[in-house]
Amino acid sequence: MCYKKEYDVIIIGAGPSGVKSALTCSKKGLKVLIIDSNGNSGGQIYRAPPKSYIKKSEKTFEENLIQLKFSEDLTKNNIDTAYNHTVWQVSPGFKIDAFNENGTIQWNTKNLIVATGTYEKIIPFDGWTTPGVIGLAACTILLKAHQTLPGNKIVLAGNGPLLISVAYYILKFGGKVDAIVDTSSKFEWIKSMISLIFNPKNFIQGISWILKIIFSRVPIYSNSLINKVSKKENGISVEIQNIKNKQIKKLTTEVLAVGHGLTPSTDISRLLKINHSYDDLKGGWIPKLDKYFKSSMKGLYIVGDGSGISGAIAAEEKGELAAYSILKDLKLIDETEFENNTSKVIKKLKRYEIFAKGIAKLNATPKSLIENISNNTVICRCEDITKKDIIHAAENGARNLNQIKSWTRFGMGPCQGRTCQYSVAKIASEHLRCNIKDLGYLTGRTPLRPFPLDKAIGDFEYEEITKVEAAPL
Amino acid sequence: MNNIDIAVIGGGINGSSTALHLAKNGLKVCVIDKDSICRGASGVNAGTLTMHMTRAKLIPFAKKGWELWMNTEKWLSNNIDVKKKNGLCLAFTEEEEKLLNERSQIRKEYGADINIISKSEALKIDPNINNKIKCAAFCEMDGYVSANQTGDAYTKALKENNVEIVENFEVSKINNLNNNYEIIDLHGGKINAKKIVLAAGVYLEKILKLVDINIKIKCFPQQLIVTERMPELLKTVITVAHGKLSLKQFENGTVLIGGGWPGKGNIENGYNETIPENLIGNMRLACHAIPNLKNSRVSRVWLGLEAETDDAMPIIGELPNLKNAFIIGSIHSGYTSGPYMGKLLSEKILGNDVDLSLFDIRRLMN
Amino acid sequence: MNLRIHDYFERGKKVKIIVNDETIEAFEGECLSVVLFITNKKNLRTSPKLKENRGMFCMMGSCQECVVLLDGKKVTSCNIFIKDGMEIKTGNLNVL
Ligand SMILES: Cc1cc2nc3c(=O)[nH]c(=O)nc-3n(C[C@H](O)[C@H](O)[C@H](O)COP(=O)(O)OP(=O)(O)OC[C@H]3O[C@@H](n4cnc5c(N)ncnc54)[C@H](O)[C@@H]3O)c2cc1C
Repeated sequence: MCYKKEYDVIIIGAGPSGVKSALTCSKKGLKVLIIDSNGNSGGQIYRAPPKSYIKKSEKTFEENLIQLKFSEDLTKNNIDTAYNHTVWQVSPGFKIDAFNENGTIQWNTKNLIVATGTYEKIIPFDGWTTPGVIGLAACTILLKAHQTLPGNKIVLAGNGPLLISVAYYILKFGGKVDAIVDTSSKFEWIKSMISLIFNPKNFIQGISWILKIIFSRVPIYSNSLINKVSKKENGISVEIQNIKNKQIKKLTTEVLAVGHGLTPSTDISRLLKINHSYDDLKGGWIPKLDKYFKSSMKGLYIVGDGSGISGAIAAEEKGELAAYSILKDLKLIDETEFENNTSKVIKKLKRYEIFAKGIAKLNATPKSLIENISNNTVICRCEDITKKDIIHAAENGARNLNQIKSWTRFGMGPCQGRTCQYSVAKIASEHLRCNIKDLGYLTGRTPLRPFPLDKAIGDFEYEEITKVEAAPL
Repeated sequence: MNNIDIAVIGGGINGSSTALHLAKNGLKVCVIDKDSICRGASGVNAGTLTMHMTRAKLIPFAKKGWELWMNTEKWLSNNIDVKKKNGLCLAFTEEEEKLLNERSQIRKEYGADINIISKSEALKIDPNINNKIKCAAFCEMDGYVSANQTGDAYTKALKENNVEIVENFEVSKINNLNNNYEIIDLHGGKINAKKIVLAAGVYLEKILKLVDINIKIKCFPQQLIVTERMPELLKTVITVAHGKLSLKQFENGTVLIGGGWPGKGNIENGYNETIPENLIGNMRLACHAIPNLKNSRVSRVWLGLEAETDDAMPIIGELPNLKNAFIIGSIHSGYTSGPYMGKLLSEKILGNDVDLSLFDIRRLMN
Repeated sequence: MNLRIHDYFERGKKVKIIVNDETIEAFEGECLSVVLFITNKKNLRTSPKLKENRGMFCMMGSCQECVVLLDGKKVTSCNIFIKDGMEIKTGNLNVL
């Protein structure tokens, strides 16, 4: 693709939110670029299969159809796409720096929509670093995008709706689920089902999935967590503990997929120093935005799950609202059209948010999960920082996440704390008996993903770089 | 908080070192910071302890600082990683060779044990450097500190010496009462002390205004780049003739690329931002010096703010027209010499005879 | 049981890759981390201090646990797609 240097709107993230905002903007003639590090549109939820996979017949499944529609719509509307491009830096104004296999590229825009979604929250436990233990979200990507079962025998653990959907897909694709280990009780599920009424489509789908799981006689351990995992000769041994009566059950399996809900990806909003507020039901820290998802920085919008977890359908509404707001600012729609368009969307979004809140309650991190972490459990996987190290820093006087980071090196590895920031904050706030908000969040830093130096520097002559002025003596 | 002899405003390397030495001499000291101990320049700097980049006139002080760093267990704490390394300063062109010769000679005159060595000698000391160099300057007095641990180490030492640590206290007013200073923060909190030390880093200009002294302190936002853990890529601390590179590999395998390439930033809201072209320039220079470095991935870039006076020399000593008020800051390569400069100032405050005339603030007041 | 699901998609042609001197068969264009995972090559990197084995974890390019050496360079295997003859090294990447 031949890119322009400057676009009317640039969108980072080609999931449902990004795609919807791209389509809405381009319909009014704006020149739009959408960037994604994946090889296609779809985001994580509708992730496309690898390019080499060729669709067989008419036989298909819903996520794949949605993804195909995204691709088709983007092409039809002449939206430039930069797939396989990893954004490593965003600066105000806006400059977007990315790299791909061949090198680096920079784009400019006055309107930036960040639609970078979420990461999975996984609360540590003994042995969670054992190869063979993966995220529930990773498991869905294996199943739906890569059309691969992770193993012959799988235990699913954690909480929330992903447990059900992953179990359903494993069974649908002919796999075997050894057990479902859920921190919630059946009663909590029934309570949250009430909010599902606000989303009848998902409600019916959910019920049919649950029925499939029940008919397949998958053992379900409610009110339970994974106490410990250890490597076995041909698989892993999983220790399941009931939160209430502390009873332990041991299983041997091949793969454990575990997840405790989602947390918004705030890498870019933190980098741009937008104010954030804490909302556990929305997944943790979220950027402060107006009701059209506009931030305090001119031209910057944050949509989709990155603005607070509320799911794929709500993500589209958020993307659409941001797009209308840009169109209004650029005077491409007038006040009345703006009001008409947005009021409908806002109404729909409100309904989904009630639904999302119900779901979020299932994903609230139960205290027992944090209390269950033992002192020698690795929390920061990149740097091998244990719970003990974090508590030690807190005892020595570290009072916020950035301080704990510099004293322990947690979050200084290549993942930059994305995997463990949430758990470290929970552990520290528990230990210091302080509100998690008071610990703050890690300062946003570039590169947003590890940046290969050879790509960064490209080919150069020494003379080109030495035009620097010598430091004074 | 009562009976404070001395309140140090600003808990960076300079303020904390001053406080620590004062406390060791029996005074009741408190350190006040608007953030936390060593979270400013002193916690985010490159931690290079090199003579090759030190301002010539400050070499004698940097040498003393270097020695203190090499013995932290004696006066600071045992929880900070310090490593002695050989230092090589490289020249890649004839022009740079000339510059290196000149500069090394001047630094030598000020007491640094720097010698020019041939290309083959340099490659013997560190075979990883680019064999296109013309020559190098060698100095045994070099090394590094893991600067991110500074806050941890100083917090521990200050506490052990009964220094009161007051964090999240942004001083916004200083009242000079008879024989007593009243220090007030943004939220109306108050601390009384008989003497004060201003050690507010890049905020010195702002804090000096509170005691009616107006001088200019420039703020330089600088970028630093660190790679992920790598196998051994270099054995020495690398710098270059024109001074725009500092490069070293920590024990944990990460390589830190610095050299004072500017980013954007200001002290008003603490906002800072990298300049991509400067990152790339800095990375290119680093990869030119150590060609194998290009196989690594950058894991983090950050910025720190450095303070500089009009003549680029430090301000250390008594404040004029005020009683019992002192200042320390704007020291180039200030992390290296900070522990010693703090000690010097503490001796001055204790009434000992130390010559700080080189750093007198009055030279900057018109 | 074959872990690959063939109901919906046709995969690329069969190719061979080399993982730590061992040859494995895979389909062209498949995701490297997935292929390693299902062929029981789950140990990808060694952690820096505890020297533990680590493997594929998040599948979103975020966690960095699935790094391997491809042509001598560190890459996250979850966004690498199989090409014939690829040479992969896993294990103690920090001292390689
Ligand atoms: C990126 C970078 C790299 C560097 N690399 C090196 C190097 O390799 N080697 C070397 O020797 N030197 C290096 N330096 C220089 C060195 O870091 C500084 O000279 C030194 O740390 C300055 O220490 P300080 O105590 O004066 O200031 P700071 O460390 O900035 O401390 C000042 C403190 O004052 C506090 N403060 C400010 N205003 C108020 C207020 N109103 N109320 C309360 N508290 C307040 C601040 O929060 C801060 O903690 C580098 C600097 C930077 C920025």
